[in-house]
Amino acid sequence: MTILESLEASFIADWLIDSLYAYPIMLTCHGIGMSIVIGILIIFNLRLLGFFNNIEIAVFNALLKLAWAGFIINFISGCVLFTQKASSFIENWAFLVKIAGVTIATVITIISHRQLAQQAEAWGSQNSIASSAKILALASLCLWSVVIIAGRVVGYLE
Amino acid sequence: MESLIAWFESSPTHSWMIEHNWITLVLEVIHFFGLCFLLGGLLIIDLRMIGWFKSISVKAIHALLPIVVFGFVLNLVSGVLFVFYDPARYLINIGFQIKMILVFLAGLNAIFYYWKIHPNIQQWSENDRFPVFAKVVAAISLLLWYGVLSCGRFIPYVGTG
Repeated sequence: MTILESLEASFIADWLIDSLYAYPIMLTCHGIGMSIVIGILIIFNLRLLGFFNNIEIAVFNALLKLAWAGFIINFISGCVLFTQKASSFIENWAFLVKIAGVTIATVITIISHRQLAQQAEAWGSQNSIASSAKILALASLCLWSVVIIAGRVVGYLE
Repeated sequence: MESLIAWFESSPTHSWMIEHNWITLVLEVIHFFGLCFLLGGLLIIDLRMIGWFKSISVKAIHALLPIVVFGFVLNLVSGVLFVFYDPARYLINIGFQIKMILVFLAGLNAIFYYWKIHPNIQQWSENDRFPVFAKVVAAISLLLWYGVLSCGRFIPYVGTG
């Protein structure tokens, strides 16, 4: 556990502890990032599943870039928040479920984004979306939901 | 303020929640889902009005309003229940008080939107020329709601009153 201990002794962890508002500021960034990533992905996946049909599917190429910007905010703020409680988080099953969920959901989102980039025009002109894309959309919605739920449980287990 | 806290604490809703305190976890989950619906939808709508994502038609983007309203209702209900659960914690908390002021201002901003912008949106979107005040209303909406989110996150870390 020496890596975890050295993380907790790092200047980042010191900053979070010493500065009165550093921790809630990081939590706020993590909340804003979540609303961007998951907010946009919920709408994208619902669109793949047949909702909001009057929004052109190709538009999500641009919207997903914004979602990835939110992902970067959350990756950085998440790593910073992790340093302060590294050794307790790593033993927290909800935290582990959350990280597993984020990992799988991210892979699915990358695949969905690629499918979209390649097939948006075809989907748009035929007005139908491949069923493989719909299955991924459903899986993505479930996994990001698991991430939100597990993230809330983390605090209850501390 | 004390009588208001006492009123919440003497309510049957409060006693039920104290006896079943797992409900706070369920409400937190609902509050976070609501946040994603509300802010995810608003982000796209407001950025479009400001001038991003011009390939989306303004009319199509307004199909997202129901998801925004749905998120708001989820958060209104779960938020009111948080106050029932622990009124002494929230009502005197400066983070909560500022959050409620910002929600109120966001409400006024939404009323202004329905009054001055929504009736003209069809016309403005035809040549894609939004007046500056429409863009300002969209920017204020985003600022206020991210302010609401930030204040909520600060509630456990700031003092009371």
